Amino acid sequence: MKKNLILFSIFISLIFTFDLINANLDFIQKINENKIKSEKIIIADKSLKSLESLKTRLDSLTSFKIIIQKKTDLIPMLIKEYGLKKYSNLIDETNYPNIMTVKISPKNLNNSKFLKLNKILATSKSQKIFHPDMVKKSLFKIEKINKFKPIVWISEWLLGILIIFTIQNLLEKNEDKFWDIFYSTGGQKKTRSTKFIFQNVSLIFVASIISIIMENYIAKIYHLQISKFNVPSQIGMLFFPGLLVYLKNIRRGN
Amino acid sequence: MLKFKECSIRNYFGENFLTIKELTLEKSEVIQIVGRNNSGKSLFCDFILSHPNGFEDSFEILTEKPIIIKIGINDNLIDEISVLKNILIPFKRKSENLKSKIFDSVKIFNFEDIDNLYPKNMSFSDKKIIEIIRAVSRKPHLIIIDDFDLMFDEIKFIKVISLIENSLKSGTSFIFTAKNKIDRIPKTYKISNGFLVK
Repeated sequence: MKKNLILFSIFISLIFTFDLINANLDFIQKINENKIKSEKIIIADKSLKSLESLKTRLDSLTSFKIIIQKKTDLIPMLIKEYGLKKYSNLIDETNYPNIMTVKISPKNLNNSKFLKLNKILATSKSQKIFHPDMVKKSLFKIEKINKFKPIVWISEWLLGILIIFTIQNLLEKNEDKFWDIFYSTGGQKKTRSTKFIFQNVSLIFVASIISIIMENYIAKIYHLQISKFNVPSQIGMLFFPGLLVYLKNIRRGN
Repeated sequence: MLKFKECSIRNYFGENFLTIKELTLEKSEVIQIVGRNNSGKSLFCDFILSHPNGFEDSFEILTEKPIIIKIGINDNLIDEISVLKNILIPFKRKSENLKSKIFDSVKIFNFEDIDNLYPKNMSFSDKKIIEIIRAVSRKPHLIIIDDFDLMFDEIKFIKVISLIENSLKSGTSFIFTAKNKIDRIPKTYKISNGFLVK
């Protein structure tokens, strides 16, 4: 019981630490995604045709939401917004441009698409308001996090297995003398392995349920999505060390 | 309970070391095996322990799944847990009845409050007494005590023998090994020149 309590506390602490690391990564990713989302490209051109051809080229990249506002719609809007009704006869339609707003969706965007976007915009002679360096920086961070995530996940898993194995092995080794005495004084055979298997199964069952509850709670606070691999990986984090300790220490002692 | 006839025991290097002409041990019987250093007394004990189902036709154990306990010079108690817990190690159910029997046994040796007494504070002979009490409480088929004559002084020896005599009633047999013959045990086997004879 005491042994299981130690292992349980270590397991929960590990899961909690790993969850915080993952939550931080997700948090940084979300901040950068929001930065990209908030960035708009505004393109102005007196010729509607050139904006439309630009839109067709950008649409092929499938990462942007593009809205074109014609000057015929914009002028009445401006007059209404700024109360210029008195001077409407002074406004010369030919001097005003059409506006194209491009919103970037970070989920579909990658570096190559971003480069294509830059190329297309560079070839266009229309007026632009765009901060490519900021998007580039955020995109670079997101891509780095996406690459880094599986490595972090595998490292956490292996580290978890290593820590739990080391501690479980140590705890079992401490009991070796007890079991030597137990068997040499006529204790029932296979008692140790039966007890070990029962304790481990109950530990896996209880610890997994509690860690799932805990993770759901953390996910709710940080607005995170829990990976479908979380439960099997956590069971593995307890199962594999247990199996190794069983093969190394317990089976031999029977 | 146990029967040897023309049985050769090999030593740890695989050489023939000890030949037992004939030896029988009945239920609730005590025998002693007397021999000098390196004569093969411990080898004989280990041979019985490592062949709980007998050995070919020359060594038979007439009990199915026998419980055999060996007590030797080596320390077989855990220092960090109390004497009572040490005695209770082999028991699955630690009933009050069992505990009261253990308390009765330890009283003979003037041990008090064994729940708060730890082996690290005990002498060698006291530790051996605890091991014997534990073995006897387990009611095994056979208890082997190696180098029995080295363990106790005369006073403790008498008390241990009375404890052992009590446990004979539960059907346990005993094998003692010693360098010098113990007078109170009538059935004696001797080891000399690689032969174990009566």
